[in-house]
Amino acid sequence: MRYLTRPWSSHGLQNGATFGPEDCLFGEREGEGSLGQEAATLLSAQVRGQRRRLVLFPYPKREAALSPARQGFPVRPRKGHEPATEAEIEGARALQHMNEVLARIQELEEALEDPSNTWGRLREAWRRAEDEEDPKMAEIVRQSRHMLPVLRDLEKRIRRVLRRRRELTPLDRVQEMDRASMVWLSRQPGTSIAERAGSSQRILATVRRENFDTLENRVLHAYARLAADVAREWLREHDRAKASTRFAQVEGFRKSCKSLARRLADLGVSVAGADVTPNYVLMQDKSYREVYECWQRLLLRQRTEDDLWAWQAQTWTDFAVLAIILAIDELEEAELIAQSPISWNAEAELGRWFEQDRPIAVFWLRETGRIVEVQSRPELPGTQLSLARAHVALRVSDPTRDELPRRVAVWTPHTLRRLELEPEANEAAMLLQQLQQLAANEVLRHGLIMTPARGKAETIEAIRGKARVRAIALGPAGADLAQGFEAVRDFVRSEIYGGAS
Amino acid sequence: MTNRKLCGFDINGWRDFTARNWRAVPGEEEEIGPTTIVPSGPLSSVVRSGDEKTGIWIGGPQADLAPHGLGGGWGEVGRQERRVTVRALLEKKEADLDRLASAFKGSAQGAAYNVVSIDEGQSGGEEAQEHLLAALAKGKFRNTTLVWRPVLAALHAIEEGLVAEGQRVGIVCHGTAGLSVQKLLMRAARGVLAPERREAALQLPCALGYEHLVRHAREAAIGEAGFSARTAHRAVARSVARAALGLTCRPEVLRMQNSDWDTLDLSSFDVAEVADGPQSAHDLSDCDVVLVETLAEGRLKARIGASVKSRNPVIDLPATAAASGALIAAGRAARGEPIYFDFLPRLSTIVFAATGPTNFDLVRPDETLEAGRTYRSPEPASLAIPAGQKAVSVYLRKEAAEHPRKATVSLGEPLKDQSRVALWVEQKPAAGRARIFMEARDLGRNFTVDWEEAQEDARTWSEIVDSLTPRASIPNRLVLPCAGQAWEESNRAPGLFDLLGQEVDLDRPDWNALAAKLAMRPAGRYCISSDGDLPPEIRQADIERLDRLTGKAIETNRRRLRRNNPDEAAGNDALKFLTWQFRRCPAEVADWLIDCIQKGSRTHPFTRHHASWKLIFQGLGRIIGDEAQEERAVALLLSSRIEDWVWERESACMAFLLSRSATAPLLLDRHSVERLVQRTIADFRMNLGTKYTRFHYAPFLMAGLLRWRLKEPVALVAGIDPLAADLLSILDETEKDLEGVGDPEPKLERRRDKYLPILSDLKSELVGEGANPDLLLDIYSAGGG
Repeated sequence: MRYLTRPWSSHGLQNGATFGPEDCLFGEREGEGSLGQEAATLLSAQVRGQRRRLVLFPYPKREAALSPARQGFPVRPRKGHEPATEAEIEGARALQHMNEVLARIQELEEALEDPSNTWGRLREAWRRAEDEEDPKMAEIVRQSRHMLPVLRDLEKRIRRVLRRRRELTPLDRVQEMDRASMVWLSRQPGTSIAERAGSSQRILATVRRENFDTLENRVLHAYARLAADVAREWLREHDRAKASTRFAQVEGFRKSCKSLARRLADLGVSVAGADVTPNYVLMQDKSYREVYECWQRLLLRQRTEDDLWAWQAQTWTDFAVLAIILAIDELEEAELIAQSPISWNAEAELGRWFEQDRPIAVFWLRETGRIVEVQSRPELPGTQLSLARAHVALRVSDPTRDELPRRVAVWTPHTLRRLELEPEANEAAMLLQQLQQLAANEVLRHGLIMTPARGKAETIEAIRGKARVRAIALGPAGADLAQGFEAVRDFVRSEIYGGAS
Repeated sequence: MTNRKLCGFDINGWRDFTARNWRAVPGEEEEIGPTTIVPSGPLSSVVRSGDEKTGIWIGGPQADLAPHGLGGGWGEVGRQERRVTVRALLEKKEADLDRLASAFKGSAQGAAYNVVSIDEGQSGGEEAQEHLLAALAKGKFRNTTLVWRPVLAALHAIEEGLVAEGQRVGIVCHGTAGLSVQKLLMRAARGVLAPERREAALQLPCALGYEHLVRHAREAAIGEAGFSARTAHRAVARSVARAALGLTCRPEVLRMQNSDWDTLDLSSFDVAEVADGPQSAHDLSDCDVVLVETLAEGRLKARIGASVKSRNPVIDLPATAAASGALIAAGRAARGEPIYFDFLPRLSTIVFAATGPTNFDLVRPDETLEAGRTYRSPEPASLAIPAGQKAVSVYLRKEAAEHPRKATVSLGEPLKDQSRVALWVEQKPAAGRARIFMEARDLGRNFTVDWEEAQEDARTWSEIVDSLTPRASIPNRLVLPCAGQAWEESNRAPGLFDLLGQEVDLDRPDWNALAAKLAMRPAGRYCISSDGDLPPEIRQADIERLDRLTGKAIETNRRRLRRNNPDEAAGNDALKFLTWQFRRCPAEVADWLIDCIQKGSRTHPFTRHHASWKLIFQGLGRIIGDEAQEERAVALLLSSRIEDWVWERESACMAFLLSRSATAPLLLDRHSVERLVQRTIADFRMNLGTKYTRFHYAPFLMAGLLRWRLKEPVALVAGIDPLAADLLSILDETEKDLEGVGDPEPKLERRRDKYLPILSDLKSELVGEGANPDLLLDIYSAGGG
């Protein structure tokens, strides 16, 4: 296994060196056999009679991890803590980036509601995402609108139970006694009850006391605390939207959650564990049921967050592919002629939210007379692509077969710190130039690098001989998205209309 | 209305539309209110996405775009098994409910009320309805209602304000095999206008059917070369379905088997030119408004409108009419308003009324019912099941089915007593098959009758009803024949001729000898037949002699009655002579005998000796021929305590009356028959374990009673009349008793050999399948009389 910090780089990680936050976590393995490490296969092809696999390793959950050795990675901020240190702030930013990428991907699910116009609707959603002052819908926003009246209602009628317990009770207040209190009484010194009651004139007896520590209230408590945390995280990530009503709404929701949590803590209600089995009240009382359902939804998100964090690079690839598809679909003459159905997963698996067969999308450009196919993690990548280690590609072919089909390698390197585009683009162009010497029935001269902008959208082009690589740094929201997406659009147009050069 | 999500599906497989009242904007909250229509198809299908194990079926617009199942050019996903057309799923060619459910799920999911269109005619049968409902249940669609396509079109028209209350609306629906015509009445109910459907749509098969159109378009797409591996990709092109429905076609690129690309241009193909409408325009001029509902567009749509005759210009509805009508229906379902009124297909069975088997409608004709309500037979059919039956068979007829069926319900254990079962149906309009229930209160159980399992009967309904009419056999009237031979002299005794000659002039004729002669039956023939006829060869002189002797006998008896007869030694011999003349005997005698019985005293001159009663009763039975006398005699006999009857007196008399007279059986009523049956059983029982010397008149009486069928055709028929079961059981007992005698003495053996065949004949008479019309004569002969 060779560890690679960049897909186009032929220099592997030196012995003893570790992956760092500026690196992509790729590995390349030749030959059969299991990997023996936690990894996702991106490409698998027969190259010169041998199986060659390109795999991706997950980001570590903590700062460092072994096999392969990874070190110095930013860590997600702990729940309920404002990031304080430098590392924590970096971690919080990375988390925000991830959440925004996820939001763009999840908009696809909603766009699929009307499958006849998926791409138009998704494009519209992305366009709105470019405006950071108008925050997008999120689970917590939805809950803040929906649950506020529910919490207000519950606050007024928190369920209570009367529990029996034994207490030393003044003689004149004793109403009932159980076996244990009688045993206690019999053991007291004295001949009459008054003597046995001692100087304080109290005996042990059962009394009934109000108690709030029921399962449903523990769930309510857990929900209030979790919702407040999630709301704060959302507010932190959308600090540019302070003026919007949604921001105010989430802010208000966070405050009432906090006060509710405090009140419940005062009433002696503990916090439910995530694995509780719902009781009758949680299932049948309308308000409590809604609390339970919303809590489960937030928990699910918490639960999958580790996984999503580890496989951010996969999610990023899907995001990049969606961006390319949207850019092609935008062309006047483009007609989508085939697209495998997208089936949405309830939870992300290895960073991927949806399943889709190949081909992902095939467009026909009516006037230009070209077929453009978008490929992602192709099953049969061919020698060129597999040597280029690009697991996303465009294939432009001529239906009349007058011209050789062209392929465009697309790299979607995801790193936790921003890449310097220029040297990377040059190196990628060099790789493409080297590949020109291979005999093939396809032309592979052009490449595209799509990498997270992390606040600085940028486009750079590198040319080496006939090989040309464009590197685009784009983001999942705001100006990064607007500029980055424009650059992708630009690349697609140039590739289709000027690509023959 | 509250914020409820509603959805109307028009998934027909040709061109699907789904109308819903909500819109999801990515990144925003769901908005409930505006109508969104999701089109899919034309010629929609479902595709299998993913690998073998984890793969799922996906339908709706996503499947339209999918390369799945479009041929090897697309690689593994192009395999044919990965694509199934919705038409095939709807036509039940594929039993998998998941796939059909995915066709619906692909377009919309999550509505609180779902209404689904269903075609009239063959493809909308009860089985298809159940199939559809099962698939919708599998897809977890809530509150689903199936509504007929023309009704949905009418609902759309109501919403658009195209029709008004009380109008008769003709709706022409374009369908798979041609056109169908339905006429609906607009009726106001609970504040809304609802269509009323009174009959199934009229089907007009013609070349305009979608199936034909698609075939033509496909042929045009494939071209003259015909279907082959080289043209297979053209057959599945999207343009084919678009062209077939008259939609505008743009050139389309297709992937060939070898992954190359091919362009198909069907823009010049006009389907309206290749398809013919029905031969004659259907007349709809009795309708106030005529609507045309089709998924086709352009010239084709105009062709359909032109294929009917109407007073006013026909109104073309948009292709989405059925879907938007379904959404309106879903809204009505949510608000509890009536969607439409429907008739139910008639369902009938056969019950046995007093007049024999008759048709009984479990679902009454002319009954209309609001959609979604359950109809229950207002009055259950009541059937009687005889004791000992393990299963009940019921005939059922459905309006839509070609042949009636015979369903058999197993009762588990044989019935101990005869019991009554009630049969009724429950059905909802357009919600699958009627459920047929059978309740056996005596068993405390309910059964479900399964139409599917029932056996088809190729006969028509009326033939079946006819065949069930019990043709219970009736034993012929007993006529004891006469013959001249009986008058002749024999080896042992002088003939009647001689006797008449000797005795006619005597003051005191030998009545005993005469009577004995008349009672003799050489070769089964009497001198005088039981109807009082004489053999034709008898000369007038002899008849006169007989008449003179008869006159003398009458005179003798008159004297006896006046009690001035000095000669009592002769006793009843003269009377005997008279009674053996059967009905030839003067009517006066019968009156004497009836009076005698009525008096019932020993002081009567005829009954000085108690053994004379036998003559009185049996004589009466022999001679009676007058209807008025018969009536008197029957009334007299029945007025006595039947339990005290003596086998050779009252029982014999009644047996004679019933067996020889054409009219006497008609005098009985149900109550007296029941009493007589009890008497018969008692007469049988009296002989059990004996030598059967007092048996003769019991089978006679039973066979005589069977002649009551002249009045009640199905009386005493096993399975219909409970009395028959009692009679059968005593016959069985007697048979067993007779057969059980180990070593019988010769006389009993002789009797046994005579009676056993008679008993078995009686049994078959009771079942209603008597094969021996001369049963009575046989019984008479068995007695040696």
